[in-house]
Amino acid sequence: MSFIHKISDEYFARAANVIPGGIYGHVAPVAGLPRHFPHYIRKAEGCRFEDVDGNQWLDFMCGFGTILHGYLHPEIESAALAQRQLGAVFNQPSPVMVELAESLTQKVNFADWVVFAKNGSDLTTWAVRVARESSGKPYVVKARGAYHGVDAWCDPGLGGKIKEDKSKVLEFTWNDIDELKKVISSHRNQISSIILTPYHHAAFSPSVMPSETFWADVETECQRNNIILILDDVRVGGRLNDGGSHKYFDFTPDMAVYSKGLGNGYAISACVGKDFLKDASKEVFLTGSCWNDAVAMAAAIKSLEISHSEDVAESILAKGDYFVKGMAEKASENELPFILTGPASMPYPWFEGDENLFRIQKFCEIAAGKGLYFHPHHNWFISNAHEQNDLDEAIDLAGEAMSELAREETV
Amino acid sequence: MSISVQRLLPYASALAIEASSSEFCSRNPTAKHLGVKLLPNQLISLGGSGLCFKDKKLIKAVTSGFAFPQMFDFLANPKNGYESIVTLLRIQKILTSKGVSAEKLAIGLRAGIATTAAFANYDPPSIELLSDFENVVIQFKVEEYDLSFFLYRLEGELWKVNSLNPIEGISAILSFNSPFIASQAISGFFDHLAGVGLGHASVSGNIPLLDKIGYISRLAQRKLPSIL
Repeated sequence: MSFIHKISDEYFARAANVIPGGIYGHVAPVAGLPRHFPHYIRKAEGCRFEDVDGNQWLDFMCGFGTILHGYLHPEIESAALAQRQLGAVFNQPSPVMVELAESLTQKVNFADWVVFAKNGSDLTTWAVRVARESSGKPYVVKARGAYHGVDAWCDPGLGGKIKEDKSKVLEFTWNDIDELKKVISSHRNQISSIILTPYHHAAFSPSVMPSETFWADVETECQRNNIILILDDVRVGGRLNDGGSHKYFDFTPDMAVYSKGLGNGYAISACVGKDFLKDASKEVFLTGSCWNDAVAMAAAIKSLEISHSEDVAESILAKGDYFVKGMAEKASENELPFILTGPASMPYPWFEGDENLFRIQKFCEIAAGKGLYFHPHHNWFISNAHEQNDLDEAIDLAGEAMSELAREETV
Repeated sequence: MSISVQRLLPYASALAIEASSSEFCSRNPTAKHLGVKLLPNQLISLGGSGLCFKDKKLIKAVTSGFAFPQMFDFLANPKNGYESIVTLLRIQKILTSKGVSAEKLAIGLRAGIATTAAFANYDPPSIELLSDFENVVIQFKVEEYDLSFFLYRLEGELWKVNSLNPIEGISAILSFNSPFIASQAISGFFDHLAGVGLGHASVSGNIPLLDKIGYISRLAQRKLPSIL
């Protein structure tokens, strides 16, 4: 049984007239459950939201990762409001930019400098260019299937492409160090950077954690070949360790990019780097119309403070563990091969043997009818606003959904 | 078999005609099946000897509904050529008829999927896009008419279209919720993003595969002329 989405559909029909596709990007209906998820949301608080038809949802997507502390976190909203009363974008930056830069360089152990933008992609691309400027070498290496943004060199979409877009991009299979070595040796002294996410979180497939030696091997290869290591911590940053995901996996990149959890819903991204890249970073032009937005920066300062004072990464990992175990029990009770892959604070759902995704889609459809916002093709997110009663409720409802799925499949 | 870039469009058009004739013949067993043969000197024959077009003329025939075939071939086998032309005209009449019918949809949809298959097989960027997919089947459904076609690729083979699923299991499903929506899709008037959001069509299964096939079908639809 699905919720009614009458008002949502009315908005969408209007949107389709004036916005290509109605809604685009990762939140386009076609990428999720178009007739089960609402197209439009009215409001959200904590870990719950209400769609425009008044349906109540228990959320596990957290604005697809931008919400780390919960929607409308009172302290963050107060900080943002205080700054908004002074203004958001001026001719010159607000002092909050300096405060945020100091906060981040103190928090991230290898960071000597930081720059800000609005979107993860703004700075993954910029970091790749800084590495080129510093090294004078053209190629960038990435893991096959990894997402690093919407710019031409990394955009996973299909249209608007020319061969040259990716002509300086090399790929290897995540965790396959031998293949990485081959890629490096076949382009000796031509590779400026390797850009990687902390673990492999590709869409439409289970997440893959780094092997025990993966990061040490990557670091070794980078040092041996004078390659700059860029950590794309856009999605994961703040969710494994409040000092950056490299600390969780015990390695040190040369640059790292953060965004999603940084402003708890306020648009901001940051790239931090080591001192030896500071000169090169000055040479690569960087700007944007609203990139000095002081409201987002004030929100980010408060968000970082809370992450530290409440040990949020530890907290959501523990909450995630509880959730993952509960879901595993329900799957076992229903004899379903359902697993949650990747870190517990951002688990990716998967049914073994379901390579064509019909089963996960059906499960998420049934769950949506119970008010659970479980995405079938993207990792889920646990925020620090998810309390035990929320997780218990979700586990119980998910158990009901699994029972229904098992019954339907038997029939 | 590789096809030169110049011949891709006429060959894809011919394969669409062949597919539409397959569907037409399944409903009219006495009709002539218009099998395609790609010949040297920019010639394409339909239905065996008797009906043969220059590449450019075939494009013109598909665009405007009429073009002169190669007279020598016709005169060499006038009976076969005549039967082929009659079948072509009967298909054209159905496709250009007003309104929506099961026969029109079936012929149009099968021709459209065959065009997609042609690009998937012979257009180099499309081949690259689909290089990871083997032993996959996509089902195209039209609700109400209980109409289904399968676009598939078995290991080591080309992409093909059929009204029966050649293997067990389906990789992805695109289902049009009404004959009208399906006819809009065939004519190129279906918004693949908004249409799914509005519930005019549904997608399930292997979305990355469907995404790529959808992109190729729109590419083919943009490049290929049509009388629709």
